[in-house]
Amino acid sequence: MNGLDGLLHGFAVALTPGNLAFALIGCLIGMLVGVLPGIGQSTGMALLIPLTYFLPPAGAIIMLASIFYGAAYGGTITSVLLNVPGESESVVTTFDGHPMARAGRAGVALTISAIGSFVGGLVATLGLAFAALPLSQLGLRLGPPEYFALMLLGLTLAVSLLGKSLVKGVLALGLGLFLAQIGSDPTQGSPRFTFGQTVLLDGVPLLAVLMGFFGVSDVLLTAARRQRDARPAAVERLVPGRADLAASAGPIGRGSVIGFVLGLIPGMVAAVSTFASYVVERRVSKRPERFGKGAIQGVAGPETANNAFANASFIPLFTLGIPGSAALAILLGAFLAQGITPGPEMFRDHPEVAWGVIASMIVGNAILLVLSVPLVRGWVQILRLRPEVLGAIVLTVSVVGIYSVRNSVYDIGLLLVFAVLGCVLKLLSYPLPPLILAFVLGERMEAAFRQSLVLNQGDATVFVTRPIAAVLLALALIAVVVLRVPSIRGRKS
Amino acid sequence: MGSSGRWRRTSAKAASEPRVSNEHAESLLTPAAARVAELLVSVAFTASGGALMVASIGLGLSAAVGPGPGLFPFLSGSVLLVAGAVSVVRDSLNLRTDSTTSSPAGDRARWSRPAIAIGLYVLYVLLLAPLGFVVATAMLLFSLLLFVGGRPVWSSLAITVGAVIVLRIGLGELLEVPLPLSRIIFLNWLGL
Repeated sequence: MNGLDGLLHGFAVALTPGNLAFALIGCLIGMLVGVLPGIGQSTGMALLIPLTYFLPPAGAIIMLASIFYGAAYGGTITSVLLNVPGESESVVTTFDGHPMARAGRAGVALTISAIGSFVGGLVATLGLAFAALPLSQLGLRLGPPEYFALMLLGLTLAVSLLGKSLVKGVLALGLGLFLAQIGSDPTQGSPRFTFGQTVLLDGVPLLAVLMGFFGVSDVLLTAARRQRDARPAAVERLVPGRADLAASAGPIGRGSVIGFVLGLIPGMVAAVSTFASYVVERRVSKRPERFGKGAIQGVAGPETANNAFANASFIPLFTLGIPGSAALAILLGAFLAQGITPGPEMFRDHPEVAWGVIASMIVGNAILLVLSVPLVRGWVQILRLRPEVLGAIVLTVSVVGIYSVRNSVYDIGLLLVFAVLGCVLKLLSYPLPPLILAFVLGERMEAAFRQSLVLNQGDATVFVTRPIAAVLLALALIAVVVLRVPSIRGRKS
Repeated sequence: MGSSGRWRRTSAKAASEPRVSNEHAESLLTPAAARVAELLVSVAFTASGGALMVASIGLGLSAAVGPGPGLFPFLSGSVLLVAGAVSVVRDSLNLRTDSTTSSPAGDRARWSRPAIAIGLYVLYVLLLAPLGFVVATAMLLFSLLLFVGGRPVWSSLAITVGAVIVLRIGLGELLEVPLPLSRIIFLNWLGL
């Protein structure tokens, strides 16, 4: 099966009425979490994971993936209408999107964003479809030492690229690895760090970690903040003129490429793609002085890059099993809960899920293009909802959700512990994505580490004598030196 | 004063303040409190790393064939210990060199809502078995809406009744999740 055959097979899965409904529900929830204050992409996905335990694998993953890229559409709405970016990657959109809204062109900004997001998402998804098989075949040739080095590289990039402090990133990573080791030893089955609790023999429940650190802690912190009484800008004309479309074509093309390339790098943050696109557009513009005052190019390029990035970031997850962000780590958790391990074997063992989800991303982006503009006025009404009320409902649903999966009161207690811990770490600016990535990768990482040593009679030089493993470890080291040392020096000086 | 009036007053006061994003969540703490908390958390990480290393040695760092069950946790513990120690040194220096006068405890009132929510969570865990799923969940949502959401009583009650009916039908009937019934005979008799 080549990429085209796979994609056609995927459309047969994605276009069944049930999966279409899951994509539609996911897109709507994604837009909703993007619009709502205090609930981001990762939070929305974490809170809805319990529901996916009751769904078929393809439908569950299609819904969560739709939430992932749907949230990017929703974040644009608050950036343009309220000048409030829902996520860091939407900050750039406020530069020109909100001035456009103040000039009565909010509808045009949102429509161009939707078109750019669709094109960016389509380009990246086609890239995923055609790169998936060659990359997954490459992945099948990797042995345990290479896999260990690859996962270490992913974690190193996450620590180096996310957060302000390298030390805090490393501590978050260490905590994630520790949580992953609680339970039975994967090789010998003996209990490790269970504190005498038999309920922990199966390990720390994934849901409690995901929902505690992302969902519930976010809602608790939102409850502590004073919210601005924001009045969204009015949305009048929605259809862009011919001049707007012509001016946006170039930025959309460039944004697709920038977002796609940066999305391939595990640990890269989406905000880099939107800022890079903005800088490029300003550089190539004949009238750079218009940027910051409502230039349509300043909206079209970054919004396209944002969605291209989101869709391209599925490539390392699908082909190598390496999630590049916290949201994708949550998606990896959902795959594992369904008994599917993302990576090279997924295209062989679960083609209907792998290709169905890829095809659904094209379907989902089309749904978002069609729905996002007509629904803008509805989202404006939702923006008036009090976050405290929403928080109360979300807190209740999260408790009920985690209870419903294993009927365990113990899981609610763990959820509470991780929520409080998450609040503390967030308040002190610890980056949580490395923690989540380390938690979901920890078991596989340890297995690869131990297999490598067993296969080589305990000789640890296997990680540097095998060329691919050595190159990956060198890249990890370079990532720390190149990305972190300059900032440490800068702080000292 | 009704809820909406209270909200308008809060909003008017807050309108001039910047919205706090996740990246700037630390501004919820006063600088002095944040520095002390930083140090305490760093000490906790360092101690956890040390404890993890000691416990890992007990599990065995090597086995008959290759590494033992304690080797990887030992390495994770060493990561926590070293990074934690660096953090402790840095935070201690920050604490000593900082000359700004610490502001008072700051806006403690803003923490009342999360504190109430956590308290209600604990109460929910304790009451779930004796009261059963429906009653305990209804009490949790009602209290959250009233005390955390600041909704009026009647509105909280209406939302609670609607939400609990939806949850009961959705989980109990559609998804067939076995929801615990109350241990109180009367409530149990009512099917709650």
